[in-house]
Amino acid sequence: MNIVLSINEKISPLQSVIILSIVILISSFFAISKSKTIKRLLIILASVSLIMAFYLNIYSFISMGSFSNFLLSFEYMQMIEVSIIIFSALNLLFFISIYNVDSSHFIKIMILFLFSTICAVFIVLARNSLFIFTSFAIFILTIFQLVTSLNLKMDKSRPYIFGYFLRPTLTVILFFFGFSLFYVATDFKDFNQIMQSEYISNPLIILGLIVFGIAVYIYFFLFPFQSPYMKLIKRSDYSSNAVIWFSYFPVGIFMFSKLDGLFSFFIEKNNLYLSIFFIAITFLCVLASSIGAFKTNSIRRIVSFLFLFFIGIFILNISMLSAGIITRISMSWFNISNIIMVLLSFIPIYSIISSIEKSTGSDSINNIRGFGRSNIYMCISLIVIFLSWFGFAYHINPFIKYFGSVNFLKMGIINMILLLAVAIAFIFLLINIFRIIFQFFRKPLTGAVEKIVFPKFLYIYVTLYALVILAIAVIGVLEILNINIEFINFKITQV
Amino acid sequence: MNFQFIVFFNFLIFLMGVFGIFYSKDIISVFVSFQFIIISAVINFLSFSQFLYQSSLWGEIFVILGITSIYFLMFCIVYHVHIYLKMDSLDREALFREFKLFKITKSDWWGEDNI
Amino acid sequence: MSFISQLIIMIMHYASIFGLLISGLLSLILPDKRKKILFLFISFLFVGILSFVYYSGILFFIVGILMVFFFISLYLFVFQMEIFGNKTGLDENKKLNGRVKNTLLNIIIPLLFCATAGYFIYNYTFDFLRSVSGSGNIFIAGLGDISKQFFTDYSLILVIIVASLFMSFLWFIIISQGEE
Repeated sequence: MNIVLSINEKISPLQSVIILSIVILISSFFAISKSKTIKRLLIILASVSLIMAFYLNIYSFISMGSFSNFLLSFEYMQMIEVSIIIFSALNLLFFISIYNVDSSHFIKIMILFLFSTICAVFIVLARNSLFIFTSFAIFILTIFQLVTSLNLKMDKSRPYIFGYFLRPTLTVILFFFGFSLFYVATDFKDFNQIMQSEYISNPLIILGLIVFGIAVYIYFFLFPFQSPYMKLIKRSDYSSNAVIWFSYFPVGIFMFSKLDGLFSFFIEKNNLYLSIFFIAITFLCVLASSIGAFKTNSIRRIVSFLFLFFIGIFILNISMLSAGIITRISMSWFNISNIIMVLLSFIPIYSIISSIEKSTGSDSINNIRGFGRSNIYMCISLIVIFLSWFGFAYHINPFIKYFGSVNFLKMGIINMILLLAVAIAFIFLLINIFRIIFQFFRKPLTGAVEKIVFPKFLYIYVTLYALVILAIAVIGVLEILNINIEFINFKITQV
Repeated sequence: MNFQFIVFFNFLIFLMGVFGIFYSKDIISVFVSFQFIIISAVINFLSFSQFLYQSSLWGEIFVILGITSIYFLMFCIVYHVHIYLKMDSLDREALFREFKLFKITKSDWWGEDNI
Repeated sequence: MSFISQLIIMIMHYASIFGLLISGLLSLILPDKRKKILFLFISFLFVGILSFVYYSGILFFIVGILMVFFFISLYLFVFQMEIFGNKTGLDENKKLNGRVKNTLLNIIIPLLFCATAGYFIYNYTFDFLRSVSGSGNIFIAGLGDISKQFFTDYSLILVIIVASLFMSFLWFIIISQGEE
């Protein structure tokens, strides 16, 4: 036991990386195998390793505390982010195993997938600018390789994969240029050093931050640059879409959170023009994604637009920071809770939708007409998950706290416009939720709903998520009503 | 050597790359535009490594590892296109049409996107 | 360093900057794809000369190998486009000739955007850059110093890059074989 503890101490905080590397090493011996038994064994091995990595990540932080050296930094926020990445990877393993297990390259695909998870963990743990940049570039490369490997059978997606991945390539190149501007200003090697120094207000640092901001905006395919993302999601394989939603986008959020400190230094100054700029982008993203989701009959496109809606919520959080409604720490917590909400809701929703599409052969919204009448259990689970998006209403709470302390007439136009943006976003989200729920109970089209067959484990999978969401909702409501839950130390509503 | 001149020249190359990205109508032009942004960053690193930060090799190391990662990524993307160009005429047609990196079409905002 | 050496270095510096600018503009403007890549390669050669001017010539050799691979792949891509894609390209060109206004807009709007950005960058950084002063000492980056720093400080990054090479090898196999 002492040996294990001493090894654990020496390899901290890279326990998760080392466990996944061992699985990659074992899998590489069976890379060319096509045996179903070996594939199943390796899936079980990868799942167990991801669960162990998740546990060790949290255990190492609790037992050994924070860690920091020249290259790496492992603190509370990094522990949460790595946990989210590993949790997301466990679910992605599920998608890849369901839809690609018959592929002759399944084991190689699994190796690529585990390596992309390792790169994602490195991005979160990296502290040194060079390490951040290199791990980010290699992560984009591995995601590209994974998406192309998962779409071997999807002929129509190939040109769109190319168009899609030129954008993150541009992001990487812009990051390279941004780092060069930082280097011209100062030879500090990590963002914390720059933040705590006089160089923060250097013109070249500010220009570098603008370049980083543009790069991050391009990375997320936010409006009006959403074209390659929409086209690829419509045409690519189910597991490939899952990789983009549950690996590519969360890592982008964590990449942004590394620059968060530097951006916040300027955003917190409550500059009027900056606030107007962020509010305008928020309006654009939230409105365009909601209207787009409402105007299409393709379920894939509806989910794609709604996903962009939730990415737009991150910009809403920045707008609230720039208007002075929330603090930087609150913004970080809002971002983390937003990612968790997105993952906990979109993973089960997409697992059901992809099953429906696979059964019926098309992704039209008419395929779910009458779904609630034929499969009540799944329908209720889906409704619970959709209604969890009501949690977005919690964004109103900082406004209530803020407006409670100032005179109504002195609120300021900016804050009123921002509140209007939040309200409109919430209304459009409700419209889209109820549109889908309404379809569940409409009269079904002949022959469509009968084709839908779910595997038995999907019932357990979706039920687990619905229960977790219900539990979080109950705890949140009890906290809002100031009812003390003694066995839980963590407060969901602590922002 | 004049620092102002070097930095402004690098920004000029960078803006040439940005112009190329917006103006490009084919894939090769997009890659050419990308190269200009990379060139401007490399010159920033090398020039200021020499003039301001001589005691450290940080700039050179960043250039080596950064260029390795970026070109590896671009090589894999071009290789992927290269492989599939041999295979399907529909792919070739889709790829050789007017290609703009930032294109706005109605189907990306609302309505349907029919394959 | 003697005055003549300094003069030679300064001439090389400004000549390579000028050459980089001209070859860059040509590669951006010329419609022929082969010439684009040719002038891009020439501009990289000028960047290589600049690396010698900045006493980091070793980088030209280390990084140049990777860039040569990329240029070969790009040139093969152009070659393949010319063999397979000529008809489609010609048809598109015929349609484009009728839309002169759109083409002008495609040039003017990005040009205006870049000019405005350039103007703001110039104004914003002019005062700061005027105050920057550097050292006249010369430090030549050697392969030994670079490799020493790699293995002492950045070995983890090297491990990741080597691992990604192995992953790419697997990916090459997947892509080449396709779905059986």
